[in-house]
Amino acid sequence: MSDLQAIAAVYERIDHHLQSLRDTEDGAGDDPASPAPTDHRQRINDQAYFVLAWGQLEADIEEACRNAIRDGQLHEDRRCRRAWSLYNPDDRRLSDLSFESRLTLVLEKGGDEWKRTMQRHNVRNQIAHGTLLSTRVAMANVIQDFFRIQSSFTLEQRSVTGHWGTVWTANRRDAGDSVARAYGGPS
Amino acid sequence: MRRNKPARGEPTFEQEPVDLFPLLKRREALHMGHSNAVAVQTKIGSMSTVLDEVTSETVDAVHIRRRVDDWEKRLNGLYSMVGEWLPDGWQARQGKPVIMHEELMRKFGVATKRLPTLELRDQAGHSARLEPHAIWIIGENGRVDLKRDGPRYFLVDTAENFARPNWEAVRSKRRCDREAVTREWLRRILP
Repeated sequence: MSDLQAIAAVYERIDHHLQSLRDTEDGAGDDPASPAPTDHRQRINDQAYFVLAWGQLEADIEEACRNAIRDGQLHEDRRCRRAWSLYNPDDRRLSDLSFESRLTLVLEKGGDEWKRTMQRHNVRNQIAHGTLLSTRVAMANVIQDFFRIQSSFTLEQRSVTGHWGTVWTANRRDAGDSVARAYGGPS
Repeated sequence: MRRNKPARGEPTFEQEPVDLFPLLKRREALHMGHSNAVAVQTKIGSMSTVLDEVTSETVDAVHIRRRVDDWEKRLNGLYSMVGEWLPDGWQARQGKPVIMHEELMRKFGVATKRLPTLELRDQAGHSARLEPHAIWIIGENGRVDLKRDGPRYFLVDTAENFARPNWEAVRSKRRCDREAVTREWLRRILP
């Protein structure tokens, strides 16, 4: 998620500008039948940046998934190695794994983080496939949550992949925590 | 996000069984080839967040009205709190109301609502205004803007729907830093 902070910064500048325009419109009158046009622009802007930010998280999930497969293929138990060999971590399409399956390889299925990530994935699909949401999106909150989700990949890796996974996990976790802290997320 | 439990006696939707995301289920099936979408959707929580609401087809006008009424109560609670916390020399008075008619209200034919605002003034002529921005914001349970000379603040309720409010303040130009709305915070940001 190397570009997520930059995306957040650009979003804030644009939304701040739109908010200034909206203040001008608000001062011009209160006609509930015709909501300020900037209100609609802010919603579109929120959702555009939501999809952009989601792409950052999704790329990290995919990378974590590839690493989980590689680590699994080095597992000391050959039965475990054999199971992981079903997947090719170097395949561009990751052996046609669905997003849900990729996520399940890096987070506990049904856990809070897994559910939240799937929920946001569905929202991303809704927006990306042409149905805009009827609400605004608190992007700062969403971005902090993406960092939290990213940090949580690592805890799940530990129990699956053994020693190599643990090493990788520790590194990833430190990196995730430091970025989250920089953005005001959990330490 | 910090989760607050509803106060005793407060209504909650958490126990109501809701079928979430039916639209998205179909969308997934049509566009994504996602055969497990149904199983995924039905496991995802209840209508305790704005995200749950806006992606559910079980929301109706009754629910929307209830949320609007709850929003008005939360605003009045916030204004009372701010009024009590003002430093010496400051006074609060009711400001010009704003009209609330968010898209979900329009979608379900819910009438407009006049929402209160709060004007703050001190003896030196400084002023500030608290004005509701919106209730339906994904990631928050409503936002009130604190407009004044200098940096603007957003006061956001981070509690779940119908839960006891948990107000946090964030500067509009630095939204990643949040702090609790407290007497000390208010006295620090007022000139």
